[in-house]
Amino acid sequence: MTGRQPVAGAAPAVEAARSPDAVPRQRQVRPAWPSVWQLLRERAASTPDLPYLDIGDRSGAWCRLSFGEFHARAAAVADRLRGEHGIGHRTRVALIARNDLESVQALFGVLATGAEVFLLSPNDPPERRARQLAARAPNLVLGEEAVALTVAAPAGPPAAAHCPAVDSDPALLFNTSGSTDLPKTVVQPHQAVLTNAVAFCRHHRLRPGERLLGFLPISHANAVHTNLMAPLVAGCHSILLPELAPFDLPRRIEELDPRLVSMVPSAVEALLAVWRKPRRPPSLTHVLTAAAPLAASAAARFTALTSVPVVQGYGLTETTNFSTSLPLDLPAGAYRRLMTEAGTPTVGAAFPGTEVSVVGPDGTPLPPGATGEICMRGPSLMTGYLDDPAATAAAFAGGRFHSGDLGQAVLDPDAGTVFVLTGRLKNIAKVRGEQVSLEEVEHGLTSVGGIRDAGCARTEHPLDGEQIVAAVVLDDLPAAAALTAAAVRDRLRATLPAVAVPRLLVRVPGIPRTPTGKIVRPALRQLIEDHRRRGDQL
Amino acid sequence: MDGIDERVRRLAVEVCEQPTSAPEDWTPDGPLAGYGFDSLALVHLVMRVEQEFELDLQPEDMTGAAFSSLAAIGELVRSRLA
Repeated sequence: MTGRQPVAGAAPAVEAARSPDAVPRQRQVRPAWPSVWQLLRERAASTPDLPYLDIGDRSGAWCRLSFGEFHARAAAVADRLRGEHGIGHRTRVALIARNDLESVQALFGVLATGAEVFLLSPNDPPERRARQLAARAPNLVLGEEAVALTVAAPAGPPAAAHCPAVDSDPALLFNTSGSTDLPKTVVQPHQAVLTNAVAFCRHHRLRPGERLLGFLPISHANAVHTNLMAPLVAGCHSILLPELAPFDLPRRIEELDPRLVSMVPSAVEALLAVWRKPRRPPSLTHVLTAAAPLAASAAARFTALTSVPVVQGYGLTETTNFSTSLPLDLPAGAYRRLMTEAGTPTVGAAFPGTEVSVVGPDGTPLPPGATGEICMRGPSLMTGYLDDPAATAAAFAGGRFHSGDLGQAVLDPDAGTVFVLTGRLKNIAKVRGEQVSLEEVEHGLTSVGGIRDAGCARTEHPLDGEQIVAAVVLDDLPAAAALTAAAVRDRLRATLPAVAVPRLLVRVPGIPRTPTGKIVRPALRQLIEDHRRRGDQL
Repeated sequence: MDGIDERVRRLAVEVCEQPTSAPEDWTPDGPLAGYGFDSLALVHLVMRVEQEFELDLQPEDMTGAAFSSLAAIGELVRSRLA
């Protein structure tokens, strides 16, 4: 079995980037717990009766668990994992996670044993899942059978006491679409999870008992950290819906009266379309959006419609969750200047515990106003990509994590130093807040019989944010001439997530490439547009 | 035929970017969810229907049921235009 140790190899640069001292002393965050499980234990001991989680279970029942009840259930799951499956420190459990009680219990049960959790989406096509499981070789896969680990309220006090995993031991593993045709697996250690959760609570000034409403999938980092980890730190009450159900969301927000709603721009747009005559719930201070760029017009329309400010944040799975967020309580003029009337709304200021900088191609930090790559340092960062020291070393070149996003710092009289994103170095699209690698889609297309070459680009869409469009070069064979867009999409759906399947497929004579074979992206975009106009749809 | 149903169908075909069955086979009462409309595609259809018919739909119109089939949408449009 490989990859059981924290990622080694690029160690000095990674250690330099992840040091708490990479952040100015007054902005450092030092969590008080060695592990996520210890945090849950202490929370369950200090406020056992406060509600932690409202969530559905697989029988369809809606459940509410206090911190004490949830801790006892997760401990019982841990006992079974240890006793029946030999799960413990330095083992790996893959969890096909849905937004349901069984999955959340399993997640914390695995962490209690000291093992790491490799989170997988239930929406992955079987071929893709099989490839990921083969590559990452977990000791146990919890899929639909996670339900078998669910135990009714345990009888006696839980035996699960001591969690052997601490600090830099891996806690959570997530796949992320990078600029290559295979997803990389990000390793988030306990320390990063805890640091980021403390920073989140500090930034949003969360208080015990306040309600957080969420519906994003917990198979992705954002919802795990925002809706499960932060509430543990602050003692908040997390309400986690199974999915985004736009027609129901207005009523949910009005009735549940949350302090905060966690969204992505697609959800903001959907809510704008369906929320008529909104009644702002009294507790709601702001909605939070991340994962894809929010249009200034969407922020403006949302605030005009609901009088609720939209707070945009920014982060990557590699930085655990948020690295920046709009400061709260900005004067109205600053909010307009930075969000609703800005050319590009800001993603806000660096989170406590994270240093954010803009660097030039040679790695030197650039002054405000200059465009460069956004880089991060601090203990919220991943320890690396699993089993991939070369990619880890490249990402941490020069002792900073390189986001692959372009942007600049802006000095604002009210908000201080805030950041604006202006572009991407990586060939990725953000569809409904999910990251899609153009190269992975291209690889998928050329695996379809009859397609000799393919190139993908992103295009804007009112609700999805971005979508994928593709150019394909067909083989000179009669069978290729009969290929339809529907057939190609069917094939892709077997290997790619639905958001990655191209909306438009055009037939072109050739893909523009450099002498070394790299796709010339601007020329490709133009080519796709030209052929779309000419009606060369597949 | 007042043309409303045809216009609703045209909008639906336009909005559904990943149909799971051929739009020619869509029946008026068939569930749109079964034709490849997910929740965001349905919201997109709400936006396009409002634009096309210059409607200002009310909170009570914003339900999954009102946008569950081509016939249901046609019905909603007719009642709001009346």
